[in-house]
Amino acid sequence: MSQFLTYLRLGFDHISDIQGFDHILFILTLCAVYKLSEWKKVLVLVTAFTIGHSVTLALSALQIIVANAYWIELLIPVTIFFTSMANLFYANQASHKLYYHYAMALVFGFVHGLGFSNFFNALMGDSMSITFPLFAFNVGLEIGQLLIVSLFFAFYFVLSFAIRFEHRSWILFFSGAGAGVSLVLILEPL
Amino acid sequence: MNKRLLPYLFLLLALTAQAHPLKMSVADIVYKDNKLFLKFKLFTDDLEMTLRTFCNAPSIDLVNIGFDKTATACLQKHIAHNFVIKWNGKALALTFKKVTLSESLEVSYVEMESALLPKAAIKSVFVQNTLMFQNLPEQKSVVNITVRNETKTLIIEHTKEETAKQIDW
Repeated sequence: MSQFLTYLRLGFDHISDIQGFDHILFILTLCAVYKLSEWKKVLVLVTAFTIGHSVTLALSALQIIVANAYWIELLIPVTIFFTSMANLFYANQASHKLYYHYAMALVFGFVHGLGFSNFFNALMGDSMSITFPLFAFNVGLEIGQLLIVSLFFAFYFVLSFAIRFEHRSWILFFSGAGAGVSLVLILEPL
Repeated sequence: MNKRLLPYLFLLLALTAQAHPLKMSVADIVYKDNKLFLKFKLFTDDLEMTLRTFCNAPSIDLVNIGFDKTATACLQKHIAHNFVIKWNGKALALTFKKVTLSESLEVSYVEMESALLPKAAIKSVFVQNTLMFQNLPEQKSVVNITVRNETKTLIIEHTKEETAKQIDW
């Protein structure tokens, strides 16, 4: 396997790791307020998250910023909890008005990027050039992220044929689950 | 959607929740001055659990006591049993240099080196790495090998029944 594919796979495996589903849960809670017909808004949302996490991943990998891993691991479930609660409070609001969602995706993307960098920095050897592995790792993260979003909306699509439900119930379900699980993750290390 | 199911689903998700675990070990191998310099980066809690099991020594306490004689001897024995490196097809004997803990105590760094290698162009590096697999079969072992500014990386995963890999130069 080439060096590029090795780091691409590490990035993909990291974001899509079901045993450590914090990043997956964040993406799902972010996307939960959108319908399939609003795919353009989802695209903007995913792009905002990508910009956010790519910036801090690069800055941290290049040692321009140094973040405390303990606080970052604690902040990641806080981002899920905050997003879930925002969804629950604004479940009735038309999603086209939810511009704060893009801002959340960007700002919380900064936090998740620092989480990705904890893993990436642990992988790197002292004598290694990081530019190429960093690029490949980030591409792997993006592919994983797109796959998660695609599977989420595919599930939504299939479910909407199988059973009748209101979009509001869908938002409440994912946001309630996100809030509950993230609360456990927040309280666990305390 | 059946609303009666929701509390049970939330409970199930909450009970299985865990922060993103980093189950991995990293070995950096650098070829320099005709020798191989090895540095293992191992998570201290995982290593402690492994050494206690491997040497049947529950008294090993890396966080509070550190690497005393028992822990250091056990570590060397564990590496000797679980790490093999072949340079151009020939197995290398490794000398233990030192083990240190990071400031946060989270990571243990183990340094080793080989004897002088015969002067020949590098053709292949074979690595067998089962460090900590006994207790942590889900972990990934990442091996970075740097020769003349060129780094190649191997990933060995026990879950895929991998214990060894080879890189050709």
